[in-house]
Amino acid sequence: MVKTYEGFSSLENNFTSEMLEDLFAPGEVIWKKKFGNDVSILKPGDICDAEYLKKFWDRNAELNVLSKASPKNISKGHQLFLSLSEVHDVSDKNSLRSEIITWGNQLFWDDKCDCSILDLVLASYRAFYNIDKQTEANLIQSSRLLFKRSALVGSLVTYLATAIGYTDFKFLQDLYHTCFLLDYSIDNEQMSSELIEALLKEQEASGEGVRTLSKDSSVEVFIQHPRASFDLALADCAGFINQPQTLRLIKSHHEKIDSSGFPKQLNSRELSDIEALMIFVSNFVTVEHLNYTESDGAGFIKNILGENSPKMKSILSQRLIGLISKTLDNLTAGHEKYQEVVGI
Amino acid sequence: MNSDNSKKYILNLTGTLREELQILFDSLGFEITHVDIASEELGQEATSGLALVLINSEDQLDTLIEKELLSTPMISFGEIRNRKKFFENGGVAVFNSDVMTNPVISKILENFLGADSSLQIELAYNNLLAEANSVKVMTPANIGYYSDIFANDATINQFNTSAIRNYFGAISAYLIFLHQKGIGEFPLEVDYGLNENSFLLQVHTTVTSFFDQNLWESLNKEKGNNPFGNLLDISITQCDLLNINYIQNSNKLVFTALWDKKENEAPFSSILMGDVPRYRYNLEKGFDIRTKVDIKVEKGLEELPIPGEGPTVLAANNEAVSFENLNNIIQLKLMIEFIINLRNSEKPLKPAEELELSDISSYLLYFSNQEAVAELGEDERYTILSCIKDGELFSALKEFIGENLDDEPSEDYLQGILDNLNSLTVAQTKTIVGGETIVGDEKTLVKGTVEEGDDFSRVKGAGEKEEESITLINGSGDDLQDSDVWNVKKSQIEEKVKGQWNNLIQSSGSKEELQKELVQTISGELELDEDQTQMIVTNLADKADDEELKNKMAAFKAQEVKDRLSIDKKDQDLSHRDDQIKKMKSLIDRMKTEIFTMKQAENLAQSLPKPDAENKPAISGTNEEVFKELEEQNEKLKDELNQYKQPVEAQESTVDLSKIDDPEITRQIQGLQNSLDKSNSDLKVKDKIIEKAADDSKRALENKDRLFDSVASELERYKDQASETNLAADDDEAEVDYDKFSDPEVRREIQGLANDLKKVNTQLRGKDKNLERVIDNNKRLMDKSEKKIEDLETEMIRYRDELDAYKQAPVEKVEEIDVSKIEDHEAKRTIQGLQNDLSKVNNTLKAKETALDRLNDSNKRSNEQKDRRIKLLSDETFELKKDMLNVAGSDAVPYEDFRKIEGEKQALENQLATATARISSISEKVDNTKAVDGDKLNTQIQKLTEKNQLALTTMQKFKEEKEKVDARMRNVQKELDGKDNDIQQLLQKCGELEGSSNNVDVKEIEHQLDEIKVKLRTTEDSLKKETLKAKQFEQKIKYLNATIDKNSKDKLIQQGQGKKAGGGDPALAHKMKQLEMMNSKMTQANKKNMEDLAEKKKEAVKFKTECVALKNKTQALERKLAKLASASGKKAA
Repeated sequence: MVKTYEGFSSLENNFTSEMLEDLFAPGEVIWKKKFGNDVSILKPGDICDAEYLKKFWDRNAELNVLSKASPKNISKGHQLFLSLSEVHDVSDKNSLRSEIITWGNQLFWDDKCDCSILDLVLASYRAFYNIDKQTEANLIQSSRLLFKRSALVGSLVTYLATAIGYTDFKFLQDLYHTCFLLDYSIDNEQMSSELIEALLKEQEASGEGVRTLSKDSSVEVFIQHPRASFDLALADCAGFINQPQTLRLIKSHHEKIDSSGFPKQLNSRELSDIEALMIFVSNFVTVEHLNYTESDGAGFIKNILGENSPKMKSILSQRLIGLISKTLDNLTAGHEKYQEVVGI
Repeated sequence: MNSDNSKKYILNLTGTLREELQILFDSLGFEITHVDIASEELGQEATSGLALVLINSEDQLDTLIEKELLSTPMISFGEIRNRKKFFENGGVAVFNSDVMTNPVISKILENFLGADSSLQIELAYNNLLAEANSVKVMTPANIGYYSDIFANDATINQFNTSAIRNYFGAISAYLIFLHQKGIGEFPLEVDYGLNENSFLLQVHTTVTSFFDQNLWESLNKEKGNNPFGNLLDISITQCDLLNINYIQNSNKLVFTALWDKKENEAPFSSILMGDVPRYRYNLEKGFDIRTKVDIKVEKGLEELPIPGEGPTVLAANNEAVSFENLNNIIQLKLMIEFIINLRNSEKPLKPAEELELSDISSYLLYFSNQEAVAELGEDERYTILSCIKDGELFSALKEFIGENLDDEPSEDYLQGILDNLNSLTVAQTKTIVGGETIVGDEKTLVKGTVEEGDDFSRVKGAGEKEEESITLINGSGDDLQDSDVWNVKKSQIEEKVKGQWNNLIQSSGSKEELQKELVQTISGELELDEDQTQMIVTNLADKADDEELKNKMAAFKAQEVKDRLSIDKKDQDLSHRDDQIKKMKSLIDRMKTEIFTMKQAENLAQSLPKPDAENKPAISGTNEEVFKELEEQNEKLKDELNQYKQPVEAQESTVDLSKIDDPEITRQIQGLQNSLDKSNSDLKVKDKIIEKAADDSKRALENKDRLFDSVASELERYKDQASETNLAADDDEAEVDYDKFSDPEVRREIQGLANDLKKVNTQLRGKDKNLERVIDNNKRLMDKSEKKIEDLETEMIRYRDELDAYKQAPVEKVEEIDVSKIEDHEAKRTIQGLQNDLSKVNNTLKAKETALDRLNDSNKRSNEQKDRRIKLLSDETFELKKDMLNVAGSDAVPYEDFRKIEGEKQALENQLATATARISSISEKVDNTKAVDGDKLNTQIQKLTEKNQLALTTMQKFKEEKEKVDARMRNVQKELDGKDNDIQQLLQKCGELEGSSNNVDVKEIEHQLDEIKVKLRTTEDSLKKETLKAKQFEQKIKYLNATIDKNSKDKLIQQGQGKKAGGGDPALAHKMKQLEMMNSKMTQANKKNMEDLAEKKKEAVKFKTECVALKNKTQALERKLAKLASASGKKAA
């Protein structure tokens, strides 16, 4: 189905319009100018905007891609996730879950082999992404940065959800899409660099984002956006959301496990595992994580669970650490049989 | 249930309680009152204000029902068979106290009574469970699979497996029913844990619109026709304890079941019902209304409907949302009023309690403002439904609007109305006034003539199909025209309102009055009667009110969030302030001591004789001025110095040699450029030497400082010794033998004197100590201040020296090039520029050398100064040594010393303050300089990049030129070949003619030969030109190489600077890398150019050889021709 750059034999290859089936660039796309220096036109993981790239191709410009992602890893992950949609038996699903965990364990838990976290992003994208063109355009127009970020958040959420026991493809797909809709109510007109900064700063420490906002109207938009985004997504996104109740996760994405979030100041005792996971990943991923490299994936998940900062204490519960790490660390614990996740 | 620490009262109707229960209630702060159920004391009074009522049988429940004493939550410790009746009447728990011995059960009860809940069993039952696991039940389809998981563990640990399986089957079925009705959600999160005696299973899901009624419906003993009817009853029966809890904040419904291995034969199961929302209660309270999301039911095997009615979906929600969160509240109010009015005429009337959301949507189809209907969110729809069901809620809504809207009209309000008017379309106005047009019944002629009719215009189309093409437009023509007319009218109204702006606002005491005024003002414009105009104005005013409310709520919420955050921030600030206060306090204490000491010293000073004028303090309070003056001078010098430095930095302009054709001039320019580069590089070396010299001098001064410190510490030691000597002198005070004075009067007198003396001595000792402290402080301050002055002076000397050097440096002559001889204007200008630059650089170089000399001198002077200071300090130590001897025997502090110290202290304190300010300003400057350096570096990089770009462009030009040269060379080759052939042919002809005597032919050949010679000369000329050009290229390429080399050097230097200024700024590093890459590419390209050039040169030489050969051939031909000519002449003769 996906042609992309499967046949690449080396890192740098010609980037052609046929490769536009992936919405996110597999590496750095470089314009090889006839005269003068090469120009980098897309960073790894950037949105491959067809219109933008067409301008280059129309002028017969030579575009090369310095791939950061591994076609093999992406293809494997993609196939595994996709297979979840094809099996109906719970035990089959659990076997697949086990394979997905093993795949991710080798790449993003162990730090033995070099891989990019972009592998996970592209594998998840290929397996789950189904957002309609109109919504996609709205989201991208609102903020390209947040859209790019959503791809990483979505891929991490789906993989970790699989690790802690969620195996239903439709549910995982909804989870993935929900990550793109977290700030859906902040449209192009309302979105400003100040708001984007506030959204990103709020992840760092509770209240920091709101403090940066100068206008009351922006504060209002900001604090209302979890609820407003849920309402709007519910109304607009029926086309690609399988189970609308999953969208509820939007409402709690700015909560923190220490009650310092908003709007309800929930704490970890009141949160389900999936809510806690969404809170963790959506607050954890920063802009810095989007500077994908060939080896940033090695041990990525293990490293983030080991981080000990005030920020992590407010977003990552001990329970979640236990659920994830005990699953990914004990691949022989028999989870493929029963799907239970050792919690304590 | 009880999260408050204050005393709560329990009415116990059960008689004696188990000891464990008694302890538990005590620990949770409950106070138990025992009353007999049959007692007359048991009345409304006895049961009011209670936290709990404890009963132990269904009979007691009946008694309470009978006596209407059900306002307090009840716990029954006896079996209740009719659970539904019990819970519906205020029961919260049926608890079998026999199982209290199980610590997990005890903990569940404790959490229940203490209203402590958690979704995480590892936290809720910490240390009570040996292991815990979590399972996610994805869909309703595979319940058996999951129950196998628990059953497996239960079997291994010898728990009642079938009971656990049955329980999970029943509770899952209950949750599937909720899921199908859109109340509950899948996946379910299931945690289970166990220890030796207990198996605990917790299932939770997120719910919406879940109420207690959904529980009672499923608590029946018999299911009847609805399988849902007894699912909870089965669940309870299958376990030893079931705790049903609801976490309101996150809308979680939690079922916690427990199996006790020992209590398998327990007479009845316990059931605890947490804070499940009460449906009626919510409505009565008039808030907490919340969206029920219309869940899309998934298709598939697992989603096939299950038999039975299932639970009732109640049209309200428990998730708290206040009116503040609703949008367009005024419109909501209007809609509610509209529906209430509509329902007044509805027949048959559907009872309010049976209304559902779909009914609300149907009613709203007739509402005039359909735009507002389209904007309704689910919260708003539920609010409408709830307000129609509950009049009190509607009153509360109106009250809320009344409280938050200003009565008096403001300018914003009027402006809001005008703004709304501007955005009002004709169609909207028609809707508002019920189909009437607002632009009057004007007759409009559209392409044709008005044929008939009073109220319409007839528009004619094509003649042939008259009937079809005639359009009757009612009133004022088509929509487009209506809209134009309406726009004109709107501006007229706006103008009119603005004309009466102040009058409208001031004369209207309320918004209603303003609306009336407005109606009168604009009714003439709208061609409508007053009532219709009123409708329009009201609509506009409602929107303005909505806007006002929205803004208020936004501001309120923003403030709320800000307040919350500011509280957090204030907490942090407070703790920070606390620290600061502590520090300040200790500082104040220290200062107090100093002031006290000072005062004492002052008092002492006043009691001493006045000083001589000569003995006044050596250091006065003018040091601050000295600082200031020195700094100002330094700033001036620095500015001046920078001005001198400027031209040197500006010299790095690029010379475009490609514009200069004369190779000689190019060579000269190249020479100058190279000299300039060399001088610049020398200059940099000098700079480094100066920097090193400055560092050396700094180190030398630091050594001196250390020496100074050691002398100062010696001084300190002496002071200590002096103090000890003083004390020793006091201790050695001889004791007087009073007994030897026989006269008691004399003895008393002497004793009194001795005591007085002792007192004076003690006071003096104190004063001495204080004085020492003052001296120490002053010493420290003085040191700091002097050091500061010294630094500034050194800085000044350095600036001055450098500046002098710049001023005085002799202008060194550079290689003279007579530019007057050069005709090329561009070259002339370039050479002159380079000569100037070179002179400047050389001057700078000279200046640096002088500056270096001066710096050495200045260092020398500083060293001498230091030495002098150290000597002074040593002298002071010596003096102190001497004083030490005096102190032991003298009581008085010399006045001049004291005054000196006092004055110095004051002055030094001022200096310290100035110095501190200066330090902070210097730090700022350092930061700024760092930033400026960074900017400068960026600019330089930019320049380099531009230079490189220029070089690249030049190279590109070369390439193009080279191609042209190639083409020309090819032509030359062709021409040469052609000529060669011609000559060959001519030679052949000559050979043929040798035998003949045809004069005409010889002449023809001569003519052709002449032509060839001319062409050959042209070819030779063009070949010369090409050779010259090749040479030029060679020079240019060499220049480019030099530029690239220079850029590389600059880059290396800047890399160093970049590290200093930017501290490894990745952006700078990236730029450097780019430059590096660019340079390397250019070097490669140049190399290739050079190779090409060599090739061309070879070709040129070859052509030249060919030319020479051709020339020779021509000459040979000429000779032959001459022979032929003479031969033919002879023949002719």
